[in-house]
Amino acid sequence: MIRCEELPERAADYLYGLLPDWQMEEIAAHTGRCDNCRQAIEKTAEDLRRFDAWEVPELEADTCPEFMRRLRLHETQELVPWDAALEREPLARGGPLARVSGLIQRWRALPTGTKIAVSSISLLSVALLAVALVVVIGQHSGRAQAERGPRPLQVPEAAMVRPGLRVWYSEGNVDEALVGALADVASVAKRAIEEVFPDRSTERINLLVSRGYPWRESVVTDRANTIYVLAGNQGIGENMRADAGPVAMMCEAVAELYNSRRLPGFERFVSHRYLVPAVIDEVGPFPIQLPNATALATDGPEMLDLITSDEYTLVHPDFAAVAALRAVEQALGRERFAELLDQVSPGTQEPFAVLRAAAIRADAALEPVFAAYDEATRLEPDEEGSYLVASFEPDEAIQAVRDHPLRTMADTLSVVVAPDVDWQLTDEDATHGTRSLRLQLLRDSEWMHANLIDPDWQFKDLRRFSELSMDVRVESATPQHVAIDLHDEVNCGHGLIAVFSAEVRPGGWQPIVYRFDQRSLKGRKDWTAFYFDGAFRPECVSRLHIRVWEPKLPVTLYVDNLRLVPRELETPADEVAHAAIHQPTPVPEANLEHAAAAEASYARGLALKGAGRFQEAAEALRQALAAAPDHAEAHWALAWVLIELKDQEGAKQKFRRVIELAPGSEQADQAQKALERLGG
Amino acid sequence: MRTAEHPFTYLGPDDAEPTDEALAHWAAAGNMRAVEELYRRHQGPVVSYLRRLTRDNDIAVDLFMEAFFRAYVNLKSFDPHRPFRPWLYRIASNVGLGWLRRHRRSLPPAGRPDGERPVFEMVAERELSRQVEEAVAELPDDQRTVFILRHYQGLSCAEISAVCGCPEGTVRSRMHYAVRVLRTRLRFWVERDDEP
Repeated sequence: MIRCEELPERAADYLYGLLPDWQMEEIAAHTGRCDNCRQAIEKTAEDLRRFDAWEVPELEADTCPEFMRRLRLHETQELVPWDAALEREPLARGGPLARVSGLIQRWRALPTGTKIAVSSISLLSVALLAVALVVVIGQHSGRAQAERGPRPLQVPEAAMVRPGLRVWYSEGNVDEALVGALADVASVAKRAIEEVFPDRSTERINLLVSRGYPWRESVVTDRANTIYVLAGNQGIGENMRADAGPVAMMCEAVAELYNSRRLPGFERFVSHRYLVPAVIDEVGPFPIQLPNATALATDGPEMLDLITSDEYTLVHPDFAAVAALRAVEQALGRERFAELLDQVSPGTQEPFAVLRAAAIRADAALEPVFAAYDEATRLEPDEEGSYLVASFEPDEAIQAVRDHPLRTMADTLSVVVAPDVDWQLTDEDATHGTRSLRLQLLRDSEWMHANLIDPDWQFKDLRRFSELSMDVRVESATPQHVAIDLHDEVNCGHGLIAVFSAEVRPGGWQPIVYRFDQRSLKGRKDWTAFYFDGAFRPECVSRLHIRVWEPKLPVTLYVDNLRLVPRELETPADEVAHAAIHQPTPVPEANLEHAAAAEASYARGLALKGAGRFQEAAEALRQALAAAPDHAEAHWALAWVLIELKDQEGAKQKFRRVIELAPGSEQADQAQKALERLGG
Repeated sequence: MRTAEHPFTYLGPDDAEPTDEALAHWAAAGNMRAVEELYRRHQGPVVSYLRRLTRDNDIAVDLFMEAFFRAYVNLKSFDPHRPFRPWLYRIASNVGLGWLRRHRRSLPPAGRPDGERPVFEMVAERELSRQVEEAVAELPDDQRTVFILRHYQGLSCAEISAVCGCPEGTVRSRMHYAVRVLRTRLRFWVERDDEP
């Protein structure tokens, strides 16, 4: 129920229709009976109308004839720049279709005799090449088969969750629910690719998931090297790794540059990101080779040739991408490159930030290299990219951070704090950029309980999420850092998958992906990471409890990507997500396959719900319930979907079922409240 | 009444209001009248959008042509089952923001010190307009785009989400903070106007 004192803050959102339906209805009802609030709304509306003072002139004349004239000119005279006044780089001339149509026109203009001669020669050449290719591939594959044996890829039936999407996974080490969740990520990636690159075929997407060596570092632990989504049927050069995150988009931009051969010398670039499953066996392990990686990132273009040579095929893909990006940047110039990047990720410098973060995590020595990427607008030229404020008093440290003149521009807030800190971030600490908060324990102290309240999330009302807690057990004798990252990709598109990764240094990355499940946590001793699958959406996390046991060395906790998210995110949709992680459904061992199908349907239902396709979401959730009738989360999600579909009776029934299945839980409390609101 | 030689042949604007998506379908098939109709439908709003984005009335027209050209060459891959308008706005945003980035340094600064503010020659309404324009121009690109699309262009959150390529939650967030910042910045004018 909206309270009078909350209304002014939400008035503008209400007037712009930004609030969820139920809040819109609540406010409408409230203002109907509260004069003060109605006046507040009217006053806000008056404020907003002042924005209308900025008028722009109407279009003076129809520019269509001019456009059509230019279009005809462009199509009939190949390579005439579309608009010389707007074009500054040969890269942007025309489009692929225009180029193709120009070539066709040239072809048509040739004399018939020439056409026949050229066609004959071309056909003959193609035939000879094909024969040679078949012979070479035959020899090669025979040898590879003999040396390596059969490929370990398997395609489980449970993974075939939707048409056009094939999920490959290896080593038999990934459970079906995880595969289902990844499939959803892939479908989001597919949609993103289609939106950003409308001319790219995404008819078939192969998702490669592997958790065993040598891909251990490359599984779902990090956006930078997480999920390999490989678009098939396009040849190696055009295949890509894509997870719809900025790094993937950035790599795609690089691939676009290479594949269209717009830059001399880059045609042969192939990084692991662009490999198809068929060549993965050829590649073998790629341990992080820091010296080479540093050289790659530093030298850029000179190293590109080496990337394609045999000895450097083992380089970590992040660094290959770094080298490639640096080379492209140098070739194009900074501004043009930024512009190209913005075309795939409009209005943000995020790709730079993400890439830099990934590389610096792997090798801190790269930090100076990336300093060159710092935008002048983000940091003063003579200031470092991060700064450290130390204090023995947590409150003092926090205040020092907030008072620091550079706090809004720094990439990382580093705070050394005493144990048992309850850090409550507020609006003041949030920015719209990517930023990290680093809380570091004093040496030899123990951090028994640290509460990180990310301002991304709703921090005003903590009750709903106060029970979400995670424990980090550090049993190794040499832990230096424990990093818990909330990755941006999970809260800006996928909506279904969150990855918490942990890092133990020295010794490089040791991420192990794991489902968040209390039963599982007890049984494992070496885990350092968390994986929330299915329904978890970190945007609804308002509080993280992180407990570290016996850290005898300084332990650092990170929270990445602090971002502002409006308070209205704390809506029933978030309750769904919270409920889903609140009480993970136990999966009977004997019925794993059945449960996996339910999880896949459930994940699909949530995805559809997130996409606003409620009718289909209801169907998917009902399928999940058919396979697992006691799936409380599915009942819960379906209840809210039914609300959207105006089926209040159905929703009430589902809420009652939630109360039956999870009595005493917060989810049940919420269901009870929802029932009361619905009058039943 | 004219009859078409093919059921999907678009004859021109006399036909009963085909949707943008149908027009895009026909345009992709090479029907130039459909291209013209699409262009005419969208040139007013999108030019207005680009004028607010770039604050340059002349260049906005050129940028719209550029954006529409890019849309045209990509029409073959446009899925007519999806809305055309956000797709076009997305391209226009990319073109507009790209142009801004190239020319930001040569553009006049968004704000002016109080001491330079003309005192007598401007009526308050005009001055408020300038204040709004400058306050909007000072917003970060992502917030500015969302604000203009929502407030001036009247796009829904779902459409803006498609334009910006971000979730609706992010759109709401950007809009929320944009409005909050704008209201704070314009408080001086609002309060002055409120004086009796």
